[in-house]
Amino acid sequence: MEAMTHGGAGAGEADLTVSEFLTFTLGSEEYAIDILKVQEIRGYEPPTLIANAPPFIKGVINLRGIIVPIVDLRIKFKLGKIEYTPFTVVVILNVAGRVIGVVVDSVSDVISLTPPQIRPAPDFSGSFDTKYIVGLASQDSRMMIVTDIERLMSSADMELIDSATE
Amino acid sequence: MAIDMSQFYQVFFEESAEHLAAMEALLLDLDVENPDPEQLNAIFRAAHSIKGSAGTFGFGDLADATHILENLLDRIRKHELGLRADMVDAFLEAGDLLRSMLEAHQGRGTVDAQQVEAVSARLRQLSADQPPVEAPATPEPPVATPSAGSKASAEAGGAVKRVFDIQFVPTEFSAKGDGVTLLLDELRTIGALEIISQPDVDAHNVGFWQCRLITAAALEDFSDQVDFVADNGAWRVSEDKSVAVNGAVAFGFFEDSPGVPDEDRGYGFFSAVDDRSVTDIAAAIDKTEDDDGYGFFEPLPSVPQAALAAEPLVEDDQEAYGFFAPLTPPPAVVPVVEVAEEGDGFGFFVPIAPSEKAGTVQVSVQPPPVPAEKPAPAPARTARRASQAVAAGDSSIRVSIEKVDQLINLVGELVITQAMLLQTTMRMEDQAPERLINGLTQLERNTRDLQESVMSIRMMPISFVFSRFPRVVRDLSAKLGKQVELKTSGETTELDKGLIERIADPLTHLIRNSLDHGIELPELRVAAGKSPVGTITLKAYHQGGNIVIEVGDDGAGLPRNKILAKARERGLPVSEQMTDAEVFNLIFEAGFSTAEQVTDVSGRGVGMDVVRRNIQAMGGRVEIESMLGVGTRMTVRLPLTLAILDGMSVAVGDQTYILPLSYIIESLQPQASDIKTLSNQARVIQVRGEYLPVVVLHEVFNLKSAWTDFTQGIMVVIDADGAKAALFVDALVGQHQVVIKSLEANYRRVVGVSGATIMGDGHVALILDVSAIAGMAKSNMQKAG
Repeated sequence: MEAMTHGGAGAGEADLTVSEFLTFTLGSEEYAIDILKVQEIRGYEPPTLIANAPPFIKGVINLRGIIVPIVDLRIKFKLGKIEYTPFTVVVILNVAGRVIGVVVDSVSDVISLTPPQIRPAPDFSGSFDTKYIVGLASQDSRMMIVTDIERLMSSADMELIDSATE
Repeated sequence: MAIDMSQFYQVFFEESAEHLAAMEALLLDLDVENPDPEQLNAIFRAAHSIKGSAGTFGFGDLADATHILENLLDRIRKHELGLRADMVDAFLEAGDLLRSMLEAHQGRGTVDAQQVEAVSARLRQLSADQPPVEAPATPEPPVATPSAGSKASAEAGGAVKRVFDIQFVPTEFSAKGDGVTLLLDELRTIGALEIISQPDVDAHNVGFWQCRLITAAALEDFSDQVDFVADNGAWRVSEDKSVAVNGAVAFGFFEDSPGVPDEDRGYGFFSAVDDRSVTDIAAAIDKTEDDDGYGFFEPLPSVPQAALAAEPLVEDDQEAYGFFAPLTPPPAVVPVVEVAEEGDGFGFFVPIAPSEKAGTVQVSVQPPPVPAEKPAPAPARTARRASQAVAAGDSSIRVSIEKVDQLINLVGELVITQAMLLQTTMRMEDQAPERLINGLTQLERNTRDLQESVMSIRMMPISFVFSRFPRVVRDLSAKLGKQVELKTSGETTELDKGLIERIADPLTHLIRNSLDHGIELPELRVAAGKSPVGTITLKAYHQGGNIVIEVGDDGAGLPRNKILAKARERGLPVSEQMTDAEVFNLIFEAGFSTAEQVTDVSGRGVGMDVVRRNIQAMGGRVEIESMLGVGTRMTVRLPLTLAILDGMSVAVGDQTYILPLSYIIESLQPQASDIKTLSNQARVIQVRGEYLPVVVLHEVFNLKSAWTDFTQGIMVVIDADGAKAALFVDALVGQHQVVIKSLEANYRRVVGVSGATIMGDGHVALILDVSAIAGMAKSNMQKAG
């Protein structure tokens, strides 16, 4: 969380703080999220449907006795090719005091980034609304979208959390 | 050794609360005219325990207040004062005060100092109302009993005043706190106190105290109090009788023993020894010169150095002086004796010490006479101790609810894993080794037993709630000028701890309601040909998977017309055609009250709506039955526990849902002719002459169903709070007990779903919210109609 809030700018000691990020792909895009938010990674298993939930909420699974909702980000971001194979990955996140599973195409690796390596994102029409983007990072020839996954998952349009008005 | 006492505070609070509750229950149960001494003792013990631990934990105000209460109780239980009804009131009031003080210490609320003073003053005044009966009337202290000398000296002196030597080493807490001061004050109130020696004030008075008390009171009157401030057993109260042969020698011994005062433990030992020895010797000497008596002491000297001295002693039948001589040198005995017994019943253990320490002496000869020698004091004391221990210790432990919940979760997991294993093995069919299958079957049985026992940890008898109502009824009926008798039954009915805590408030409200609105004033009751004493019945029992709690009264009943009029006044949609049940349910509307005037008990229009909301939040419901002039009965139905539920699993498409069994009336396979449509939209099914709205689950939940033809599937007739509906599902799968898991912990609320559970194969199944689904049926009907 801290690493993300630093954004791209700023200098000083904070610049030297190395944070680790888990990268995963959604379609052709590569995303990075704070590894501290990741609880575990597991295979996809068909969840139990939830009536009248938005299509990207696949349902709920039993994670060792806890009921965990599963979100398919590929559906949420309309990435077309949605396949569930034995290799489909579910990243179990621990965000906002909740446990949430996220279906992604694949998990790449874990990288270390210092705040200066994360550049502010330009206004672009990506899959994510820019308010959930901490910045862009590049390593070798890859460009990764560093995401504030906590903010994304607790946002109203994910429909994971009861809004106050309900 | 400094211990952070705060870590024990919680235990103290809980224990004290329990003692207070016990005290209150006993007080309410007490027959004022003819009090049961056992009950009086129990009440006294409760107060005493609170005072003791309050002092220990440094809650001086609590200790002070309880002290006054305890004094009065003590005098009553000793028949120095007669019990009167106003005393019971004062005691109850004092109990309330103590409770609020406890709460204040826990950071909830404050205590009104004036109230404390008022209650204390009242208790003091009650205590002073009657002059105390003279000391001889009090029971003879046990220590003095065997000693004929003590009686003799008292009688010979012609005065009831006796001289006691009190020695003790206070515990660190009572020494630093008010404990010692309190004790001294207390002793001063019962006689002339002279402090012979006291420890260094700089050292916070921790150390050896020696006082002399000249009093008319019996030893028992203050020995317990000394016991409280002193370390375990590190106290001694002995009657100083110059007539008694060798008290002086005994004291000499103590004063002479060098270096001991620094050691608390040492005192524990010495006090115990001396306590017995003085009286025993007195007894031995005053009685006929009894060989056996000396025989009893004989093993004592058998410590190595004294071994030789001991031999002749027995044979010579010497006076008791010989006994003391060997005792002084061997501090080696101290730990042995101390460990063996905390001071009491010392005589019994004496033989052990030498047998361990010095096997060279013939110890074995003497033990038999020991019990015969002094049967009176030791058993009496130990018996009292034992009963106290039982009262205080109980056979239960306190565990935080989180731990239990975690345990329940883990066991749930185990059950599921076990089921998965079993399924996998079954799939292997013939290839599965028989031993594996046998083992798994056994595992299944064990896990099931384990699950049941773990679940039962959360279960508590409902008497935990019921026990508070006698007081509520007593206070309220007095306030309202009514005569009410409370009858309870089914107190042992068990339900979940979580529910116990949450049902208390709604039930209190229902009872207050019955008292205020239901039961009439005595004169009205007589005029109506009823007994002037109204009855409120409180009943709990199991029915199916529910617990049912009934609050009934034989009062006036609910005035249907008045309620209807009131509802119209408030603009609620009502009609004369409404059934009684519907009319009565109006009183659950927010702000609804039929009380003609606002009393301080009820009538402000708050409450019943909250009652219903609370009960519904627990998954329960309330029903009212009432008949004018006969009475009212409110029935609360609750699930047994919040953690498990008896459910029927139903299949819809490839999904499984759980229906709480308690809502299901029946299920049937409909005939095509049974189903009709209304306005071509809503469907109804005729079941035994009744038309019920049909809820098609796969339509409601947007699922692909195996059956669209009603005659192929199953209609489950459900009844949610009186609203009936038929739920169409593909098939019934089976009946299970399911562990309820929260869906909202990680996800949001889902309409029509009340929770989730994990099935035997590890999959999640959603638990249907029957009320919501029945509601859907209703709204469908309204749309159609």
